[in-house]
Amino acid sequence: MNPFLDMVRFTPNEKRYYQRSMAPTLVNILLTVAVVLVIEQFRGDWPFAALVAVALLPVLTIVWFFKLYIDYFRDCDEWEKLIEVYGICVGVLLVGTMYFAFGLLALFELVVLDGVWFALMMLPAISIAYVLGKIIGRWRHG
Amino acid sequence: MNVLPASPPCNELTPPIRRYLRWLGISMSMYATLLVASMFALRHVSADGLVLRGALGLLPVLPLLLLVWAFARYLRECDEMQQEIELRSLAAAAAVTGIGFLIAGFLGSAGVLTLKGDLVAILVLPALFGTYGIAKAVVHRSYVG
Repeated sequence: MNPFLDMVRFTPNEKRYYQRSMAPTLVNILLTVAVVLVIEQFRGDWPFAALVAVALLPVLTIVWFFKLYIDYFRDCDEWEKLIEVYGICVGVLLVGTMYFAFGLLALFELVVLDGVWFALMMLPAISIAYVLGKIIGRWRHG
Repeated sequence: MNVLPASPPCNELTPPIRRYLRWLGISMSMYATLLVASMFALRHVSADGLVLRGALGLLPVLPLLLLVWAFARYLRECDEMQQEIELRSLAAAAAVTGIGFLIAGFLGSAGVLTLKGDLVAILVLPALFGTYGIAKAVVHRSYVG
C-alpha cells in the first residue's frame, strides 16, 4: 500500500459527497459566467434592485453545496469527523491569518489589493486550505 | 440514545479551556503591543526599506500564529462532544463568512459596492471569530440545552 495514496483516497461517504457536489459546482460555474455577461450587457438599463438580484444568483449554488456538505457530515463516522475537524480548522485559521497578514501590508501601503478579487477568492482559498488540512489530518490519524 | 460523553456546563472552566484562555490573553496582549509598536516604527522607517517595512508590518501576525497554535492544542485536548461543537461552530463560521464575502464580492463586481482591498483582507479574521463565537453559543445550546 502506498502511504501517500492512503492519505488522499476517498472513503465511500466522501466519494458519494463529491459525486453529488458535481451538480452545484457545474451550475455555479455556468451561472457565474452568465451573471457576468448579463450584468455587463444590462448595467445601464436595468434598475439597481434587479442588478443586485442577478449578481447574487451564484450564491444560491453555494448554499446548495453547503446543504450537501451538512448531509455528508451527518453520515461521517468518528474518524471522518476528526479529519473534518482538521480540514475546517486548517482552512479557517490559515486563510484568516493569511488574509490578515495581507490586510496589514495593504494598510501600511506596502502592497495594493483588489477588494473585489480578495472578497471573491476567500471561499475558494478556504476550500483549498480545507483539503490540505484533511490530508494533514489523515497523515496524523490515518 | 445519546452515546456522546456528558459535557461540562458551558460556564465551567476545564483545564484545556483554562490553558487556551491563558494563551489567548498572552497572544492578544502581544498583538496589541506589537500592533502599536509596528505602527510607531513604520513612521520612522524610510519608504525605500521595503523589506524592513514589510517585516515591521507583519509583526502583529506572529501573536496570531501563537493563538492558532493554542487553539489547535485546545482542540486536541477537548473531549469528543466539545470537538464536535467546535467543528460545527467553525464550519458555520466559515460558511457564513465565506458566503458574506462572496456576496460582497459579487456586489462589488456588479458595481453596486466599492470594496477596499485592505479593509476586506483585514476584516476576514475578525468576521470569522465573530461568527464562530455566535455559532458556538447556538450550537452549544442545541447540545447542552
